[in-house]
Amino acid sequence: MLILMAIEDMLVDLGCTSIAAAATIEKALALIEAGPFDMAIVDVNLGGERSYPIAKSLKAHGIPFAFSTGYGGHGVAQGHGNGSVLNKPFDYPQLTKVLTALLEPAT
Amino acid sequence: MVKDEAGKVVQHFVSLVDTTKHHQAQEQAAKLIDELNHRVKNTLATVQSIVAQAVRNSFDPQVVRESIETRIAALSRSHDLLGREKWQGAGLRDLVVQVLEPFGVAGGRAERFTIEGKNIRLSPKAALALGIAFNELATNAVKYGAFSNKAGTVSVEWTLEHKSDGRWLCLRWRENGGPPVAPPSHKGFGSRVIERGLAHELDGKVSLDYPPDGVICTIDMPAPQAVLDG
Repeated sequence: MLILMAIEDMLVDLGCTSIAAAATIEKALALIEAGPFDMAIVDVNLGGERSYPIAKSLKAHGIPFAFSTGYGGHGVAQGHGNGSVLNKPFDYPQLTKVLTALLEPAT
Repeated sequence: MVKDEAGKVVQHFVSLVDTTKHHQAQEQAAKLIDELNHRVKNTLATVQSIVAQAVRNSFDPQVVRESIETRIAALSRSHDLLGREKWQGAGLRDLVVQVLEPFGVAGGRAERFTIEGKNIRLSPKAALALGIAFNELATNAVKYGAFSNKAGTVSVEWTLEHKSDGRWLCLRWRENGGPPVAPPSHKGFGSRVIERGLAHELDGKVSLDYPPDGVICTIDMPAPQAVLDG
């Protein structure tokens, strides 16, 4: 819980002006439908469930995203995501690098 | 009595069973280690958040240090409680007592607390979130509220209620008899944690109100699975 708030503070520091958060897959899918979003960070594990349905929906809506995980590199299955992975705990350099890359238009 | 070949077959059969048990034990161990990694990473990220908040909110090294220490201590106590129950969850009543213990619930200040409600089983996630929130409420009570003078009292009460959309756990933290209360001009980290963080984590509704008699925090959350299972 404190982690979410710290991430929000970091995002605000990096220039995000609007942040929405969801703690369950249903809430996340509803938020995506309500849109629009420039990017997303998705915890691989959400309330005990794998969050791949969220990744699928984000892809379908063309929203770039990165996975966040505490499991290290092997926590994200092949074929999902853009390959961007944030390792917990985050730090500013890592967050800046990954989020900046997400904002680059896909070539 | 059996030929060599028959004897060998018997031996293979026994080995197969042992291997299955061995594999199961290995799988179990791998799962536990994975779980442990996950929890440790989450704990580290939580500690990082605690440090970041403390540094952000004050220039005074003493204040920063105290803020970090008390929050990490609270986190550690929550872990103690969850560890005792093998991370299967925690009883709500046990949790409230555990969190309020350093604030005197078991000792000299016992008459200043009222705790009313069944020992409902919470998930580890809910227990951790509520533990953090209760610690923030109690810390604020010491700084500005019911524990900042000699007369103030705190009551923590909860009930299970049937509403149109299911069963809910409704909890109220109510302070009384402290110095006159006014809504804060600036919401501190503790208030953010309670009103935003907790509501998000529990998928419920949380409100923090400041009537002149004393702070009231209302926490409404969907009833824990343990309650629904009966």
